[in-house]
Parts: sequence; C-alpha cells; structure tokens
Amino acid sequence: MYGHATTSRAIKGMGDFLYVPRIASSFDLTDLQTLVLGASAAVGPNDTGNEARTLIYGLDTFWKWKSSHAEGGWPFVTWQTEILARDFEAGVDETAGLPSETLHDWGLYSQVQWGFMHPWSAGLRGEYVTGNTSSSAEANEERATTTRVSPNVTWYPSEFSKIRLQYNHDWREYAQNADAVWLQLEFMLGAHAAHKF
Amino acid sequence: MNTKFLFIKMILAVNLLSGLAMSSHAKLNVVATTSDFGAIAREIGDDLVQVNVLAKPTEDPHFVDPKPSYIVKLAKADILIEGGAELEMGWLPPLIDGSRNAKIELGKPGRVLCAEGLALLEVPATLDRSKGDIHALGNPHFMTDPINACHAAERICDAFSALDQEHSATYRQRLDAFNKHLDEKLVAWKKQLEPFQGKRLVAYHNSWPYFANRFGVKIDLFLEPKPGIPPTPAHLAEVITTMKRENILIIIVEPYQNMKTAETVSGKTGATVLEFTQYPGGVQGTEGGYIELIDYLVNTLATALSKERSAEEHKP
Repeated sequence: MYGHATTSRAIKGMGDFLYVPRIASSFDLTDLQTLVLGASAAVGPNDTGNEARTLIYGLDTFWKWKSSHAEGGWPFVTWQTEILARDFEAGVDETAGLPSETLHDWGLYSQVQWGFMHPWSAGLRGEYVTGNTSSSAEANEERATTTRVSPNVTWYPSEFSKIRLQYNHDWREYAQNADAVWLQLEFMLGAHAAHKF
Repeated sequence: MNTKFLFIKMILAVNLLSGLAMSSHAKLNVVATTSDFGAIAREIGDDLVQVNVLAKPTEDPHFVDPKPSYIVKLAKADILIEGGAELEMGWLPPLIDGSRNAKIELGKPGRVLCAEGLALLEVPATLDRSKGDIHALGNPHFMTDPINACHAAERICDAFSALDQEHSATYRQRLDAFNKHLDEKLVAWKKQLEPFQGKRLVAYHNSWPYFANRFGVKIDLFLEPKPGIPPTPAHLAEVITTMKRENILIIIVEPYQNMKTAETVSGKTGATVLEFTQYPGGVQGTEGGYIELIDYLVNTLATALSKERSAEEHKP
C-alpha cells in the first residue's frame, strides 16, 4: 500500500476496530434557509504494520434554500462543502528500503446545485486534493495534487429516477490533464422511499 | 426517622407536586403536518393547545423538506395530527423516527390519522409507477370536502379529550360549535354553486375530487399528464383541444404550481386562471381558518362561473 508492504493483522482488542464518529447540528437561518454544520472522523488500523493506524477527519457544511412556493421541491439552491484530512501511518518496509513515516493528505470539495426549473437542476463542483512528500515514489504518484472542476446538469423524469450528464476537467501533478464525460442513470425500485433533506 | 430518607422523600414530593401543577396548566403541544389540520386543531383546542404546523401552506405537501428542526418539534409533541392517507409519506416517517417520541407512535392516543374511517376516493386497483405518483390508500386530498373536515375535527377532539380529560367537555363543546357552523355554511355553499352543477373545470393536479363530488362540479382534466409528472407540450396540446371543444373556461392552480403553464393554456383558450389552495393561508383571504378557506374557494369559483355564464349570455 503506497509502496509499503502489507501484513495480515488479526483483531486482538478494541484498538483493532474501526471507529466512525459523526456530529452534526442544523440551524434554520430563515423560514426558507437551513444550514447544517458537521464534523466527522474515521480511525482504525491499516495493514502496513502491526501498530500502523489511519486517522481521517473533516468538517462539512450544507446550506439549502427552497422557495416558499416550491412545487415538487423546486426551485431550490444547495451549497455543500467538506474539507477532509488524513494521517496514514505507513509501517517500515525493510525490503523496499522505506522507513516508517506518516503520509498526510488533505482535500476539499465544494458544490452548488441549482434546481432552476422542475424537474431540472444544474450544478458546479470543484475539488482539490494534495499530500506531503513520501519516501515512496509510488505514494507520491498516487497522492499527487489534483484539481477538478465538474459542471453538471440533471433531469428527473419522475420522483423515482434521475439522469445526470457531467463533465470533468482534471489538472494533475504527475500526469497529463484529463477530460471526461459521465452519464449517470439512477432509478428506484419498490416502495416510495422517504425524501432526503 | 432517618434524615437522609426524609430529605429524599421531600425532594420526590416537590417533584411530584411541581409535575402535577405543570400537567394541570400546561398546554397540549400539538404538531400538525399541514395547515388545514392545524386550523381545526386551533378551533377545537384554542387556548388549551399550542399548535405548530410543519408544511408551509404555499408549498407542495408531497415534497416538504424533512428539516432537522422538525425533528425537535416532533420530539416535544404530545400529539401529531396527520392525514394518514400517504400524502406526507415522503417526508414524515424519517422525522417521526428521528424524534424518538413514544407519545406519537402509531396506535398511541397522541397520533391522529384524520383519514382513518373515511372511504377515500380513487383507490388504485393495482400499484404501478407508470401511473405517476399515485397513493395506495386513495386520493389523499380528502380535506377539500367539508364533511371530511368534520370527521377530522372529531378525531382531533377525541385525541385532545383522551390526553387532557380535565377539559374534554370544553373540547366537545368547541367541536359541536365548529360542526354547527360548518353545517350551516355547507348549505349556503351548496346553494351558491347549485346553478353550476356538472360544470367541467381544469386543474393542474388531481387535488379536487372530494371538492368536486361535494359541490357537483366536474374536475377531471389536468395539466399534469399523470399525478406528479410535470406538464408536457404534447399533453398540454391535448388539454387545449379538449378545452376548446367543450368550452371549458376555468383552470384551477394552487400556489406552488407553475402559473406560467396555466397562463399559456389560458392564452390559447381564453380560460380564466383561478388561484385555489387546499390550505388555510395558501392564498390571501384564507388565513382565518378552515371555514374561511372553503368560503374563499366557493366564492372565487362561483364568481368566475357567474362571469363566464354572463359572458355566454351576452354573446352576439
């Protein structure tokens, strides 16, 4: 993993479990606007050494405005941002000549979605991720700084399905810039599920 | 006597007395999903209840955002009043689960399902998503019929009386007054719409079968091709053709529905667009309560139909 050899670890105690705490609170800024603030983390062992652990932690925010005369949930505007960091303790790998080290990465995304006309919405998402320099060339390549911008447009044929067209442009540190187009189809089967906030 | 036990007994006695004092004066904390139930709860409960309404009267009741703050309101509720006909099924269940309030669980006196015991219209023989957003129990817009509102008021009164027995006679008295007023108004409303029996109208969504049945009008042509599916150009062209052929000159639109679509159809047919609402407060002039709401609907419709008739009579 990231150039470091892995080892098989058995569960010996509470420290070998994965813990994922999450706390969030919401505030109604006005009758039409709600803000949710949250913090989350995940901590547990990784397989690069008998004592190696990984810690992921982050903060997030979600803001939503919905019209007082909303039809089918439209029109609306949402803005979601999350910043995450990771400390990955990589164990020593004598065969590869890699010392014990901590790989530190962080990144964030921010996206705005505008439900401009029932049943259409348009969105823009930006992402950025980067990390410190490792002794492992493989780790440096896999964790290279990347920036992505993704505009998208979504059509909801019914309450139970959506079709999204998304374009991605990536700026990458150790590779050529990349362009991609995604077409996503999502549909729901079975009973009417509850709507998400 | 052991001083420690005496002290504990005193604390318990003070807590018990303060609890009794609070329960004898505290208002019932009522949460209603929509403002029609909220308005009736205020009629029956008045100064003895505190009513919170979740859905805004101007928003689509099928698509209310399950905001986290609603969970807090439900957590504190003594009574939850809902339709019980699946109108709120898209957003209410996660809020109730999140509230962890045993008082409003199904089957408890604090959970009022207003449609329980009613024969709902348009119960689908089969459930199929190709028919749009239909409801398994039938059309959930039953409160547009005043007789169904009496039924809802009865259920609300029963719940208030069960949870606040001290004031049950007061609740019953207010229920009787509400029903009496509604009965009197119903006679007047029916008389007002009597000249327009069988008149066909267009609505944006199929929200009005109960209103149509009660007052003898026909509302069976919709701008939506299927319930919950936005109007398409091909479907609107069919609606316009039917309206012209049958000389249908009224389109009913609710506050959250697309007025531009209705105005486009109106422009091509000469029909009048009427602002209707199922909920007190949804349109100006309906804020007073349930009876004021039906008053507004009947007056608005009767005025528009009278004008239409008068224009027909004066045609050269």
